[in-house]
Amino acid sequence: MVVRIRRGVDLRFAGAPRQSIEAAPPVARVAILGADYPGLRFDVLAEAGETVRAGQPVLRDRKHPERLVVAPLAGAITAVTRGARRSIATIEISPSDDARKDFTIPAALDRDALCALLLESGLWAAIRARPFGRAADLTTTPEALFITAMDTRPHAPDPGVVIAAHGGWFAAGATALTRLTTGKTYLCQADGPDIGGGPGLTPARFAGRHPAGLASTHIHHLHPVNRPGRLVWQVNYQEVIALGHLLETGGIWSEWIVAVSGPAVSRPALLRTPPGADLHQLLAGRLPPAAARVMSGSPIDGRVQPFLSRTDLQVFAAPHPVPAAPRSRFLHLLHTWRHAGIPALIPNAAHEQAAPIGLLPIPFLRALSVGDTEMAEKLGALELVEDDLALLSHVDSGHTDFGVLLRAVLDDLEGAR
Amino acid sequence: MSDTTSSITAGAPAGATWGRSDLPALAGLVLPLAMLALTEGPGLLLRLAVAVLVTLSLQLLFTRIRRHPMDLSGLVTAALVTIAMPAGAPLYQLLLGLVFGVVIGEQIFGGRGRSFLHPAVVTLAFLTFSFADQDYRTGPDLAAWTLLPALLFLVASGQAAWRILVPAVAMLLLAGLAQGNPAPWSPLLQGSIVLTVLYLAADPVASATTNPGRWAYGLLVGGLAALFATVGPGFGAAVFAVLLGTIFAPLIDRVAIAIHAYWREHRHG
Repeated sequence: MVVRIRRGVDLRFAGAPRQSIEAAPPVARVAILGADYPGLRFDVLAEAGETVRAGQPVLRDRKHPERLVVAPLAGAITAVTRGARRSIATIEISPSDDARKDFTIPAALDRDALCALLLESGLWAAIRARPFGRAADLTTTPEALFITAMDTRPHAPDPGVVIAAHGGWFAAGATALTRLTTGKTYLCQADGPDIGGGPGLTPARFAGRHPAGLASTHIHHLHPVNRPGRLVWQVNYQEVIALGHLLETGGIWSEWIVAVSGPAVSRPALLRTPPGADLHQLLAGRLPPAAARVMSGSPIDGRVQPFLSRTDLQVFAAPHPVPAAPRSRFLHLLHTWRHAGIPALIPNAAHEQAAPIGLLPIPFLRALSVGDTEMAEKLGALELVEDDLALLSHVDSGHTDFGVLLRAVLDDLEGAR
Repeated sequence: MSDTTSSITAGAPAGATWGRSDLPALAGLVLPLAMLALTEGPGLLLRLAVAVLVTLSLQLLFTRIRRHPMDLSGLVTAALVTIAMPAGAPLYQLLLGLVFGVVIGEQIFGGRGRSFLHPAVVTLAFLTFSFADQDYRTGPDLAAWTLLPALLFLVASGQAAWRILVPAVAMLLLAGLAQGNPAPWSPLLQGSIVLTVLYLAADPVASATTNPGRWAYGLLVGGLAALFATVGPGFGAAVFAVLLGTIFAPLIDRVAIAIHAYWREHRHG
């Protein structure tokens, strides 16, 4: 079965990556980012100055103490920085040797043993529950599980290339994941050659432009979660490889494959890197001498930050915009008038083209803009997460991040449950 | 983010660059204005200057009070009203009409994008009702081909939805056929009616905002225009059809949303 998406936008940026995996320069600084675990509060298990092994727990969730966050590499913790209300902003690690924690893999891997392993190894964060898109509560059982093995964001790594390099681990991880649900486990992939996988998976193929590769599109077509009581889980393909690696070798996987690309990057390609790598060190030798904006994430939804986010498989770098020449007083005044305040939504054909599948974009964006939770739910907010509105925010060009507005609505809806 | 990356993007829909710009609409009005200026002389330029002064000052006043961004949509309104005014109409009527249209039709709701009527429509309706001594319903004598650039710019920039234009034009043609008109396309040869359909009926802000709603809205405006044209000049009929259509557009959208929500609720059992 192939689902063809007729709408969508194929944005082309300069500096597309070559789809071949290369070794990355050594990274002297990696970080665990608190922002990768939104809404959670942690106890710190390893303070600055301590040495940790790869896989050793560093953070523990306060509400669910069985959830651990582990060090991606072995090394010394150099800094623990805190953000708003004493939340954890970053835990920086300076990698030294390759000491690793060995996890015991039970011979008979049933659902409980698998969940325990996910919680202990930090891979629980890979499993996102829909609706709301937060880390799944492993004590519940989803109606279906979605493995997302396609990516239509501009400059994304080709999942086919990555899975071809680690086919055994991917199959092992995917087979293990089928134990989590009583329903189907969908393997969502692009239309084309078979991507691999294992027994018990239901392949589903999608063709078309972005957002054809987003998990929300797949869930919308195969098992929509717009009604109360519906629950599905979603896992990205590299997390599946990480799980397979854990099951086969007993250690955590710290050689994620990310695309480095963009007009400021020379030799754009796929690089092996630990999650949380320092972005400038990862791009060493690839950036121009002039300043560049380095973003974790794709060109449409990336954020300028020093470290790679756990959920991002892309690093995008663009030259800094040339600073504007000083304006005369009159021109400055005109500029101030032109850019004051929040611009209104002006409906355009581009909104229809870039909207998530099965959404009425203008009424939905209006509901988000005024915080009308009830209308947003009626129009399909439960089927969406921030990623789905990145393209709309990009083509709207009104400088409103609709993803942030959507999260406020989702938090409202989640609180009311 | 988009300000730095848009310059290095290809493949983006035109609306990503031009969706918020007033330049496509203004560029499309250059030719009609030039043609009218050739036949009418400098009087048109004086009207245009007064209209621009009024709309831009009102826009500036309201955007400054509200700390909203200022755009050039006032220029479009001024040009549209200038084109639609009869040559002999006194300037004070233009001034009164524009103040009413821009303030009551647009600015008190928060400006363009937050209002639900087109200020030029409100202006023309106000003038028609208030000043019976002038003929505000006949409209300018404009060749339809002068609107071809406007059609191109507005549709290519994604501002005028073809889902409104096609049903509106189809309804006009059908009505002509039903009345036994030997040339049912005759309304479409009048530049003033084409101008109304392109700029006022297909205005992205005032028209319906869902795709099914756009079809229904286009049919409604085309049908009303044909109906009103049986008792008066085609231009006035079209303007009042747009006024009624845009008043009903939120209701049409509401129905489209209800149907959409029902479909969402009931798909996949």
